[in-house]
Amino acid sequence: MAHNVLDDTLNRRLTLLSVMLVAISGILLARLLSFQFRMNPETKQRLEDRAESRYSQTVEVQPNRGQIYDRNGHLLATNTFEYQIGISPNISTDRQRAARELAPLVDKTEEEIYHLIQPDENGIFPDWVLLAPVVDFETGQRIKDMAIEGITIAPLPTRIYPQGALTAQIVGFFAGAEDTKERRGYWGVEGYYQLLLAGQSKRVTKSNIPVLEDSTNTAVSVRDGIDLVLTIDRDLQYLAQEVLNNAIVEQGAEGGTILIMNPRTGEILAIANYPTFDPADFSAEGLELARNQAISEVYEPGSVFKVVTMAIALEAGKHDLNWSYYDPGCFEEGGVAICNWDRSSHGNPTFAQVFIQSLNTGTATIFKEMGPYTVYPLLREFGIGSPTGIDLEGEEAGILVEMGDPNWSEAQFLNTSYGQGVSVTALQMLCATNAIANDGLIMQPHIVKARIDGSEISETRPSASYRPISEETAHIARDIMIQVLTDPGTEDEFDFPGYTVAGKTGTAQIPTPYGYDPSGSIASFVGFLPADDPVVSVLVKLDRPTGYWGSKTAAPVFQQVLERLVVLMEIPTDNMRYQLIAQGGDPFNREY
Amino acid sequence: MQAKPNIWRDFDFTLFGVTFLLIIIGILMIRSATLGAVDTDLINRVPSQIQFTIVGIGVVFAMAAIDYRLLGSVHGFIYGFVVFILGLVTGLGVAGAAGAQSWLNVGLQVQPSELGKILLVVTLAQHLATRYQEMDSLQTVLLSLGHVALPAMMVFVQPDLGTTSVMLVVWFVMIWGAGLRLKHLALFIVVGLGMLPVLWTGMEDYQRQRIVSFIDPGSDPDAQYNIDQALITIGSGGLMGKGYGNGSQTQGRFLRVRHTDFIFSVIAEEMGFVGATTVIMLMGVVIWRCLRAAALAADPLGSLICYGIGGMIFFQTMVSIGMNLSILPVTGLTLPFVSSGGSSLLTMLMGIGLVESVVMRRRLGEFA
Repeated sequence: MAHNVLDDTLNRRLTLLSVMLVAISGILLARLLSFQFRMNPETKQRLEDRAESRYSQTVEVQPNRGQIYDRNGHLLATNTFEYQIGISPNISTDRQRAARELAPLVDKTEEEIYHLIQPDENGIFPDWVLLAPVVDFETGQRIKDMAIEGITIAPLPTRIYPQGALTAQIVGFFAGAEDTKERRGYWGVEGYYQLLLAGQSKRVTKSNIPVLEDSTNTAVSVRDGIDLVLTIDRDLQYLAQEVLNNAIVEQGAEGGTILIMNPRTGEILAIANYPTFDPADFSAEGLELARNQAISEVYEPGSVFKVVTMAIALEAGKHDLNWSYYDPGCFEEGGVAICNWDRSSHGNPTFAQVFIQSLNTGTATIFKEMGPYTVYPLLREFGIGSPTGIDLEGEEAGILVEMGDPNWSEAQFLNTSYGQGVSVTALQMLCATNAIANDGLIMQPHIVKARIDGSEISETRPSASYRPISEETAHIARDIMIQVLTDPGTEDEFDFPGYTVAGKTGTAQIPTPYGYDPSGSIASFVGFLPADDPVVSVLVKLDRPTGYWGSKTAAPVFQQVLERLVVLMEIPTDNMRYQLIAQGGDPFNREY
Repeated sequence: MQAKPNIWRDFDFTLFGVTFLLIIIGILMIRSATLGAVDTDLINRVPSQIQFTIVGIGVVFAMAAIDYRLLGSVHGFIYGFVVFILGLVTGLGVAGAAGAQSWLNVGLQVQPSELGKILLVVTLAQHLATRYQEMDSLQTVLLSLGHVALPAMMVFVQPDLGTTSVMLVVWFVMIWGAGLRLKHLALFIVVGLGMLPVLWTGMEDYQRQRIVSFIDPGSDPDAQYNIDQALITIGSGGLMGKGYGNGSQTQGRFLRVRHTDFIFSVIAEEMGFVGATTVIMLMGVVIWRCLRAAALAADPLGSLICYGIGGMIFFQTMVSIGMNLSILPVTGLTLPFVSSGGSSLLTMLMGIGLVESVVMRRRLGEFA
């Protein structure tokens, strides 16, 4: 047998090695024991605290913002996502790859990113670093698909407005303030209904440990925002905006408004303004236009205001259709001349002729006979000088100067009778007109038709906000407004065969700090149809048209609106309507 | 004279079984350490480890089937091969995960230094087997050191301090086993201490940094981060651990390179003291079976091979666990059989195959 000569030495040294092995294992085990069972409680606590703080974070889970529809279900505002991109360098396994592949997508260079995700001077990697505050939906999805360890992709809810500029001033916009980063709605519906649309976010503690997370919090229930259905009809809105834009060009006007309402319910069907707001233009000038002029801009309405004068005179009882006066063409009150538009006398006009011929001396005489103590409370009843309470953000109240005000004078009081020295918004003016259209009742103007909260739908019930005049008064005033448009003596450029329309033109002077501006006017028109059973009322207002007179500029625009409106709204001609009524039907299939 | 005996009856099933058990534990812990990963590299860790295990088992039996004496006889060729592939890395190497130029891309990436250190055990064993009777001469000792020093230098410049230290430790263990004289040992300690400054200046910055941060942890908090996290991880394990897949440190990714360098911490957190001790004990069994094979071997070559493999596994285990327990500096050495990494697993299994080859042939001399 061949003896392994090495055996003796080796075996001796093997024993030695085994002893070493056991000894070292002993040291390792002792160390393990020390860590796991005998660690100084303070040290252990300190280490655990440091660890625990990294295990979870509190995050705000955002609900979906409510969508906004027009009355026929067309989307006016809906949601998409943008993303905030960040990275946790302490978790990331391949920081080079992260820097290289993310650079082109987050608008940073590879070097910049690599620099951001380096450890600090103490060698500690940051827990989290912001790479891009906002990237669009597609970029976010691409980054998600890259599957880079340690990347965080936080969704930021954002808004898109499918109708763009068409409904921008009505809907408002959703944006984040630069300093707070918190996004909210501004102006219009977005601003007014911010709380309802926003829903309720929820703070949840989220585990940073991916695997444990699934079991600990599966679904977080947040209260989503409420969807809103507006009274706006997108097609009518388009019509109003198109007619207005054309009129601005044709009439050489600087601006204008077309407002369409249902006087029976107070629903706003369309609000078109020029210039209007482009939701993509976030420049300072662009944002200025986000205010809806129809509710935020006050102006002296001029002669259209005479419909209010007429109504309160009849309602107060001192005046009736038999009343007449001597028209001097001009008269002086407190050192101020009050003149007709043509500065000439019209003989002895009756009550109706005052309005048909739009005589300033006539309305002034009526106010003088009524006296301010009768007039102002009735004007208040018409909502003049108070906000209408429309559910849009940014409404102005207008200005009604009453006795006791340092600016008040007898002459100022008489001016009010024909719409000077009193300021209203377009909406206030149309609402006041609606009192005559709606048998004496002013319906609360509103823009939200229904709220949808999950499966629950609550419709806005039309409600009255004022009853300034009786039904009888309203009908007399309405008949005079019909005559205004049909009387052969007036020069209104308005001819709309087949329908009976009630209306009134106005040409208002524009006040400046140095008196009225002689170069321009605000030409306007208010009216409704069918006059005997109104379903729609319209206000047209043009700022500084070259044609100056409301009867020459605003009246034809009003006519253009009506021509297309009756088709869209399927309003039958008077004859057809009477036939339908004779057959026992309602031509408008009304529910109210 | 009987028929040629069946050498497989002496196959060490204990060694093979315990090794296989460690690999299974390793795969399970790697799976836990990479749960929920989105990174493709991490996702592929478990399947890759399983593939390498299957190949590795084949390697064990293949190596066992080859007579180690045959390998000894071609030691010159093997040594040349080792020097050749290490040279290739310097020329063609691709940067590995840690930036070291230690990977060679041949279809799949292999680490020549891993293969080199196992083959070096064979050539050094042959070298010493022919010279162990001349251990009184310093020349013999220096010659064997030279045998290891060339490949060790080539690995050192990659730079891979961990593998270099493994090679040097393997040399020491083997020459010690071959009968290193105490006077020579004393000489080496003196010279070694004198060489330290030279070694220090030859190191890369990050290698120096690791040593500095080990001696003075406050100076390098990034290293301190890893160690702290390892301490939190191990310390929070307790007796039975937090349960498989439930370690907050592991799953929260606070522990880095948890599937390789810090796999022991993962075990300690999730499986507790019991799990960690079990792994240490299983490692002890593997080393004991290697040393047993060294004692049983039919000839000095076989003894020295088993001795070298056992010493290598022991050293790596000690360094890896010691690093997790912050007794030793962070070197990047893996825990044999358990850590994720194909090259490391394959070469370790090659080592087991070599030991089996020796232990299977221990009786052959009796019939010679």
